[in-house]
Formats: sequence, C-alpha cells, structure tokens
Amino acid sequence: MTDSYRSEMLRALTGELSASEREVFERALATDEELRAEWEHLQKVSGLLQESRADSFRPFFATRVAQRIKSEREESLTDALVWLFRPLAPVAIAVVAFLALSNWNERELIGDDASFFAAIFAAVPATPEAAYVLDM
Amino acid sequence: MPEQVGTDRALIDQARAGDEAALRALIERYEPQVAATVVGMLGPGDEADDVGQETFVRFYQSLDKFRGDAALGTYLTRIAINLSLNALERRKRQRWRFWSRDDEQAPPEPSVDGRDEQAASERAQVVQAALDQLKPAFRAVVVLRMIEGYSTKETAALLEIAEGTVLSRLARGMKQLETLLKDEDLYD
Repeated sequence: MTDSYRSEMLRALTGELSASEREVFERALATDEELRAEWEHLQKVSGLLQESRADSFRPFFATRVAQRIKSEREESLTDALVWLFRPLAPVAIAVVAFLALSNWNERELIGDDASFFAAIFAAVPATPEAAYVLDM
Repeated sequence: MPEQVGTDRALIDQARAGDEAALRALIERYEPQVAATVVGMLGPGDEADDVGQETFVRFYQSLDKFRGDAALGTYLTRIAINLSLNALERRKRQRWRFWSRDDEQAPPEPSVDGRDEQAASERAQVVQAALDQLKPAFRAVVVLRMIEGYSTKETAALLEIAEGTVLSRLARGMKQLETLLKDEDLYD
C-alpha cells in the first residue's frame, strides 16, 4: 500500500475526509479485503496511542514549576544588580586607589614604622601613644 | 472552548500582575496537554519532567509578549514540542558519545496476568518503546496528530512544515508503529 493511500486512510481515521471522499472510501472498504484489514490495524494502533496518552508529570509538578520560576526570578534580580553595578566598578577601583595613595602620603601620621598595608588602609595601631597623636 | 479561553485570559492577566496562584492554576490546567506532548516525545522520567518545567518557565518568561493570537494550549504545545526535539537532539549526541549495545532496547514484553490496570500500563510502555524507535520528525507528527488530536493544518503550523509533509510523515510513522506493535500481541 502506498504512502498516499495510507494518508487517505489516516485522514479518514481523523475525520478529515469530505463527505464525497468518505463515501468513496467506504465503498472501497466494503469491497477490498486488504484495505479493510489495514483499516482495522490502523484503528487499533490509533486506539493504543490514545490509551498510552500521558496526562501528568510526576506528582507536585505545579509546585516544582512555581519554585523554579521563583528561584529563576531571584537569580535574575541578582544578575540585574550585577549588570547595574558593573559600570561602577572602575570608578570604585579608582576611588580606592586614590584613597590608598592619599593614605600612603600621610603615613607619618600613623608612624614611620607602619607596615605597607597599615599605611594604605590608614590602619592606626590601637595604642595609647597613637590615640594621643591622633588627638593632637 | 471559548469559556476556557476567557478564563485563560483572566488568569494570564493576573499572572502578569504577579499573582502566583493564577500562574499555578494555568500550570495545573495545561499540565495534561503538555505532558501528553512531552512524554509522548521523550517517554516518562526526569528528562520529560524537566522539559515540562522548562516549557512553563519559558511561557512565564514570555508572558508579557503573549498576545493570545493562538490558544494558550497551542502556544504551550509549540514550546513543548520544540524543547522535546532539542532534548532528543541532545540525547542523540550523548548516545553517540557513550554508545553501548545496551541502548538498543527491545520493547518490553506485555503482561499476561490479566490485571487490567497493570496491563494497560504495560501496554503504554510497549507503545512508548515503539514510539521511541521512530525518528524524531515522524514521532512529533504522530504525537501531535494522533495523541494530541491536532488537525493536519495545525500540526503543519506547529512544526512549520507543509501539510503534505505532515501526511507523508504520519503515514510512514504509523506504518512503522504498526510493524513494531504487530508482534506484541496487543491488538486483542
């Protein structure tokens, strides 16, 4: 049986034949035994496909989708913040560098023996002497 | 279903406004339709569940763009079928990488114990195993046309192929299914 003949049978099966086409098809069914056997097979396969139709996913599907949407929304909020603040990063680095340089230039205020990191972060040693110097 | 279309629209508007209950109601309403498409294409399991979830996430992400030109069920089916075809493509690539002879599955044997529910479930497994053996392009047509019940014209629009291609793929797919199921003693 050719594909085009089978297509006609499938159209008959799914109710897509016109009234006149349907009439021709039914006449052929009545006289052609091979066609009738094919038609019966096709109906059975169609029935099996209908019977095997799944109508749900695993339990609590809607809850899982809702949770996934919620977490993706939160992620997208984080992404949006990153996107918003990314252009400010070079400015922030420049400000930190400026402050570090400025602290370095004023390092005698916290003592010449201060370490490099203490100098650039202006980390004043917590001693009574330091408190006295700063108070002056 | 004009009544459902009306309530769909109301639920979509509420979901757009951030109403989680409305979104949940839409998911519950359309889970059967999306499940029929995705499980028909991929078989039951984690992958199908994941693609089902992704279908609704994509829908949620495009809520603002959804104008309601197509019925919501059709819109979701379009997303589901495309994601399922992508998943099958991924599966094929992975199989090619990790191929083993165990992948060549024969359809499971049907039950002979006479318990109706179990027998129906096993018949469904046999049918699914046969569907899995069809090429994705044929399987998509069989699922949309024979399981979901879309017309030839709607199936052609969903898959963006000609109506003639739908009919020829359906004819060949159904012929292959008949051959695969003929030996399984499922007909009577």
